[in-house]
Amino acid sequence: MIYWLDTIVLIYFAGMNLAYGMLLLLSFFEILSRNAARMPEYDVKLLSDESAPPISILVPAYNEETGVVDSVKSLLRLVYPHLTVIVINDGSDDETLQRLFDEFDLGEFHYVYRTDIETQEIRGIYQSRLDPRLLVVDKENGGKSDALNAGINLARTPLVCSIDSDTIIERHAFLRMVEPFIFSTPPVIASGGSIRLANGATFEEGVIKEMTIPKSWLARFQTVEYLRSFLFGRVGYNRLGGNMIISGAFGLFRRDALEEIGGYRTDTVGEDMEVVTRLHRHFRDKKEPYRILYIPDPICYTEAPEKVKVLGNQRDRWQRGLADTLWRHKSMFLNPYYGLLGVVVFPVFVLFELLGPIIEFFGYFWFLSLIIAGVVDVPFTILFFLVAVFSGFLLSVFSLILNDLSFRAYYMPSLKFKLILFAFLENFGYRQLTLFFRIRGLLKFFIGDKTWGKMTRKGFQKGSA
Amino acid sequence: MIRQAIYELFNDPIYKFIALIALIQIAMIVLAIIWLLVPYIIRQHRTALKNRFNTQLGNSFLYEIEDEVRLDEWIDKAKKYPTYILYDFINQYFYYYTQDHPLFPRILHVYERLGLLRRDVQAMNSKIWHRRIMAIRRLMNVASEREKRSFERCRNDRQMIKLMAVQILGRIGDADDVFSMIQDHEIDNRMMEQPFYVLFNSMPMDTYRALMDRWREIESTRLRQVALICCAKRDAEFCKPWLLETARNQEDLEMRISFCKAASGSSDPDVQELLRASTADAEWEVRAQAARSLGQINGEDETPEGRRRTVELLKKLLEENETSFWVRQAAAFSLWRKGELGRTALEEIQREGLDKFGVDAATQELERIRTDEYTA
Repeated sequence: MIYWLDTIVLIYFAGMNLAYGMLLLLSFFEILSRNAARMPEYDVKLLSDESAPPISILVPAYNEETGVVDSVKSLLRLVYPHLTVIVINDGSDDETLQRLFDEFDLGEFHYVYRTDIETQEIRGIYQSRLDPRLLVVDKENGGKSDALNAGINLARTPLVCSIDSDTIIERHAFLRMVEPFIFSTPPVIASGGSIRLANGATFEEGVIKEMTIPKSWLARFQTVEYLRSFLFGRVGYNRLGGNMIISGAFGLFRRDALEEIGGYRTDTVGEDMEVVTRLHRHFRDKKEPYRILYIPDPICYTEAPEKVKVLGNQRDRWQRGLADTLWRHKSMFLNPYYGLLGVVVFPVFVLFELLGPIIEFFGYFWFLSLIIAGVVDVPFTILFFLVAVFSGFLLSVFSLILNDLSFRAYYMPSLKFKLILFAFLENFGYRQLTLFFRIRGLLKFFIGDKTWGKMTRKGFQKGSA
Repeated sequence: MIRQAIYELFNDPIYKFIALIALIQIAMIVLAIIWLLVPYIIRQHRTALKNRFNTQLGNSFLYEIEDEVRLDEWIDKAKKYPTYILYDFINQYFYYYTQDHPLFPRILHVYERLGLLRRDVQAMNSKIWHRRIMAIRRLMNVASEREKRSFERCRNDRQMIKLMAVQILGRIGDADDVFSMIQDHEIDNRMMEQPFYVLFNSMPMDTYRALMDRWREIESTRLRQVALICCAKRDAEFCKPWLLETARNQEDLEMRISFCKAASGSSDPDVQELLRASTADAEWEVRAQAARSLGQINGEDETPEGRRRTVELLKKLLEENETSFWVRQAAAFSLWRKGELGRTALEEIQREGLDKFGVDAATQELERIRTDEYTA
């Protein structure tokens, strides 16, 4: 019995490391290709050209009074020729709407609202007198997806970008984000950009001035985690038929594609992953060539939770969203009709992202049982533990190399060493903490909990760190 | 117990295997950490070298290139530096100086003398696409007719390289070169038209006119559309025969839309008349584009009678039984652009309109705070 369980765990572990190793390798190729294909000189042509595709940025805001003004200011400063910013106040109980009124001199605007996708009732639409590119929609509370759907209804541009209201986007990000929509064949229908943590960064007027390591330990661990998940995972999936996740914090979509699939689902907490998976299915079913890309370099910054409770809410929601999406689209699992996406990407998500926490939890539980029973194989346990820790650590260190190849944040050796240290330390405590939240998320999924949990923000301020 | 464990560790084959994996992992981690530091050291070295180059040669560059003898000395000294320093240095001038800048030919001359142009042309034949794309990016501004052959070979290359090659050929080649290159392109959606707008808007006018002579032979409907729109914008008078021909082509929906797009802003009464007629097209996409384009005709390009009729037509589209939301929205938007006459029409609809959407759309346009047409 012990032998068989050990063997299963070992095979699983080897499979997981093989899959991640393969993704890492693919990510290297993808980032090198991207670096070569990147054309900063073309930005000038895009900027000065009236044929650059117009973009609407959709900013759903629910009780975001702390950061919404700074966030909108930074969006209006982005370098792109044709931008509209649509803030959707999703029935906030706080001063979100009032802050926007005060700061941007909003006036009621008789905008014709077309209900392409059903949403909660719209209370009013406003336009800024200071910068007419800013539209604000005030609506009844319906959740993030509902707010995004209202934004899609209002947008009149071929591309829409969904972001979180606490997101700060790098100034030239859209020039780079839009490139694959112009140059790629088959046509790109959605692209996601890299997300970094704003904790530890200094902003001035919504523009990043300095990037350092956050003071909070929890945020430091998350810095390493974000680098790992965005650089080695998602980039690699580009070469395997596309990503299944474009983060809700920063994704650019063709509006018509979103409209075709009926927008975001309102009955899930993992709307960002679900919408991308549905796009994949829709276009595969239509037999229409398409691409969904993750682009490593366009950067946006978001605030990571610095409190354990908030982190817990976030992680268990992510796990519930993942479980919900994979369950809804379970027919894709190992289905050759969906190509590599069905045969490789979907199973990787199921086996290592969804079931990973259960197996890991079982591993800890099994180990404790063996100790209690006094039948623990000491040399094997020590060696296995070392290999497990080094595997995760190796991925983190390689993610730092990918970071160097792409965006070059944390370029100074001292910062790199700090990140390396935290990449090692995360195996002792932080990893187990997030494991607990992920298991909790799975349990909540099984009992049908679809609440979001509270996320508190500090907001981006001048000189914030 | 510990001794026993160590003994087993070195004698059991499974333990040995796992220990070997752990050792390999440690070695990889050490290498990765070294790798992380190497770029920093390299960059520091390059920055120092670059600073030395700038102090020694860079600062006096624009002075030295005025005279051939001084330039010879400058080039001899510059050649002692690594190629990446030279590329970095020269490319900044190509980035900021356009081809009509008086210094551009001299800088190009330096580029050639340093052997960088030859290297780029050679790299265009590389089997590694990274090298080809880096080379073509650099050649974008510096290539001349002599290098034409290198770009003609790109027709079977990756999409991005093909697009850059055709843009370069648009500048240095003749109409036949461009024509044969664009025949290989497929455009699936409007966003992918953007590089061709850049191409057609930047081609020398004579070459463009010659290309338009073969306009009917362009296979892709979308490309024909873009070529026509750019032509109408660049030389409306010259473009008129193609515009009229397209307007009469009632079979192809895309071409009917093309006509409406290209006719936007046209001052020709015949074209304007056909554009007005397009508001009665059976397809909503054509009607919407016609409504939008009618709004883009400037006051001075329209007779008072023409303007009155346009306003009447747009008003009808907004308030009568038009089925498409987009057509009505475009009509409202265009009415606002028709000056006093259009705004009066919008106010009338706002005051007396029987249909809620018409009233709302009119109100929206009257209340809108404007930046440019893209916020519409």
